[in-house]
Formats: sequence, C-alpha cells, structure tokens
Amino acid sequence: MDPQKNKLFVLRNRINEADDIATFKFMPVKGKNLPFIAGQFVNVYFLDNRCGGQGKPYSISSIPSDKFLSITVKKIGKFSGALHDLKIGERVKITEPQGYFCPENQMKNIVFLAGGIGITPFYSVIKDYFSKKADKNLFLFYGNKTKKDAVFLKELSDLAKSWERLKIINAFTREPILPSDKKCVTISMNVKNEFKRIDVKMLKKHLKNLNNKHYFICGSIGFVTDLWKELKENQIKEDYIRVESFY
Amino acid sequence: MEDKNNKQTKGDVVSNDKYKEESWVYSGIVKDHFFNPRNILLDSDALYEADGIGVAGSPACGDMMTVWIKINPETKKIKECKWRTFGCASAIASTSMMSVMVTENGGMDIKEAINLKPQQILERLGGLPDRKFHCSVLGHIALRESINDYLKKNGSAKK
Repeated sequence: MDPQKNKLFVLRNRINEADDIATFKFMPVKGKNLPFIAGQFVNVYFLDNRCGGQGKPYSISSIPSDKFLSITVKKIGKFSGALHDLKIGERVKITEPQGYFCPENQMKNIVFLAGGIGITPFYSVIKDYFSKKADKNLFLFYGNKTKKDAVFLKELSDLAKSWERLKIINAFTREPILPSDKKCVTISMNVKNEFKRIDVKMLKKHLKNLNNKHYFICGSIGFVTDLWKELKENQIKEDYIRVESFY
Repeated sequence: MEDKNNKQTKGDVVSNDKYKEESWVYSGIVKDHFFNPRNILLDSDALYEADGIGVAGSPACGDMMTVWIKINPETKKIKECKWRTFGCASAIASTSMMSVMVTENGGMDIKEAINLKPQQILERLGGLPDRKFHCSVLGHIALRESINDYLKKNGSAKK
C-alpha cells in the first residue's frame, strides 16, 4: 500500500439498508475516483483522532465505473459506530484499493457464498459483470437470518430477473414467515429461497455438479471456515477456493 | 483445610472474564512454533537480499509483520521465507508455520502462495481460538505483499 495514494473523500450520501447497516457514498474532494477492481477493499481513516487515528478495511460496494466510491457498513464495533455517526459533508481519508478477492478473467463459472454483510464484495463484482454483460455464469448463495437482515436483496433479485447468467439462492435461517413445509420456494426463474443454512448439500442441489467452478466465500470466520472445510471434503482443490473473513 | 494448590498469591491474575471457562489451551504445535519459531530473520534486514518484501499491520495497532522472500526465477517457487514481527504468540506461531509451508517440499509456487488461506495455516497448527484468528492473518497478508512486491519489481504485478 502506497501512503502517497491516500485520498481525501467527502461523504455525499447515506442510504440505510437495514436496521444496523448503511451504505456511505463518498466523492473525491479533488480529481477522479480511485481506480479499483471489483472485489477489492479500502482502508478508511477519520481526519481527527476518532478511534485513535487508526483505520479500518471495508469492501467497496460500488463498481469501478461509478463516479463515487461506496462502502456498506454494519454497525458492530467502535469504528463502524463512528462511521454511522458521520455527517453528510464530512471528510475522511481513503487508501489505495487493495486485495486479491477478485475473480480472474479465465474463471467462467463462479459461485459466491456470502454470509450476511459478506455480500458487499460480491455485490460490487456482480454489478460490474452485469454492466459489462460478462461471459460468466454466476451463482450466488446468500445466507441471512431473515429477509429484513439481507441487504441488496431487491437489487440482486432485479439483476437476476434481467440477466439469465445470474442465479441466486437466498438462505434464511430464522425467517419468521416460513412456507409450511420449509421447502425451497421459487421467487422467479433465477431466484429461489431456502430456509436453512448454506452447506454443501444445498450447493449440490442447485449447482448439480460441484466441479469446474470457482468458489468465493465471504462472511464470519465460522461461516467461511465451515464452507471451506466442506468444499475440501468434497474434493474441491484449494486453487478453486478463495476466502475472505470478517473478524 | 485450605488446599495449598488453590491458594492465591500476590501476582496471580484473578478475573471475572466471561471467557474464563472457555478453553484457551493452545495446541502443542502452536506452542512449539511459538517457543521455537522457524525462519525468523535474526540478522540485520539490510544484509538480507530479498526478492520481495511485504509489511502488514501497523505499530499503532500493536501488531506489525514483515516478510522477506527469495524466489527461484526459473520455477517461480519460494526458496526462502524470512519474517520478523512485533506480535503476539498466535502471530508468531502462525507466521512460523506459514514460513514452513511455503518453503517445504522444494517451495510453494507463488501463484499458490498468494492464495494461501489463514484456514490452511490454522489447520496445520491444530487450530487457534476464533478471537485469535486476526493474529493469524498478519503473516499471510505480509506474504501476499512480498509476492506482489516481487511481481512489481519483475514487471508483472496484479494490482
């Protein structure tokens, strides 16, 4: 990371996505937005001594062609709490985007496994591919407690409705209104709802075949480690799995 | 009669930590790598001619890690992986294990090493408590940075 490439950004807009999750849209104070690859993250720093001058990494939820840079943040700690208190017009310092959690050109069949707020890098990647009408087959398994907790649910469903290359399986573990038999419900041609946690059994059911696919897992340590282990137990090679954990 | 073994003496740490009952026992492998860390750079780093250098963490946060690598230019495998840290026991043990994993059996291909996961390191270590997970990522972030540094110097950086 090159500290010379840190830039000043100003908060232009804030969108409340769920009870404790909001998207913050920043614009560069001077010049152009930072170039990045969808899936990368940035470190955010306050300009004053809030949080002891330390920064925190957040996945970018906007796409490289956007004029703004957005992050979607769950209020879970001191830093994210201070970010949620940020006022429109306030400035922050944002570092050069970094990270390797980005699909490569040669990957054609990509499976995204998101646990809760772990959706943010995938949201950027999926929107980016959609904007380019990329020659990829994308499968998103998106785990949440309830529909209320799931950010970008409608936006993702709308993308899947208008792009047959994207298939979404939402997995709700504590949804209060369940179908009587708790079975999979088809929402649209490319969107289905399950009512249990994501596991390899669910992947096999919807993917038919686990082979010839690249898996990207993002979520809590437990979510990522469990799915990584299960995929390995099912003979998926390490080269075909990428992980990112929130801790 | 008071049990002498349970008697508290001055200097004992007494806490009502909610995690008190939870197992904090490190595996024998973690202890071994903490007490006998492999591949630490003990000499001056100015004397070590590395092909790539990576730094992770920040002194302000309390954890700092530097990794130096030497690459076989023909096979693109890691020949040597040296490191130095200002970090905790978990960071030391996991980076020590990581340095073994990337140099054993003739060295790990840099493409494979860049995708090395904390989960793989923890599996070899026999696990760490979840709340020590963040300590285990320092080494592998610094390793990625060192590989990226090598690629930049050799004109094929990904970023």
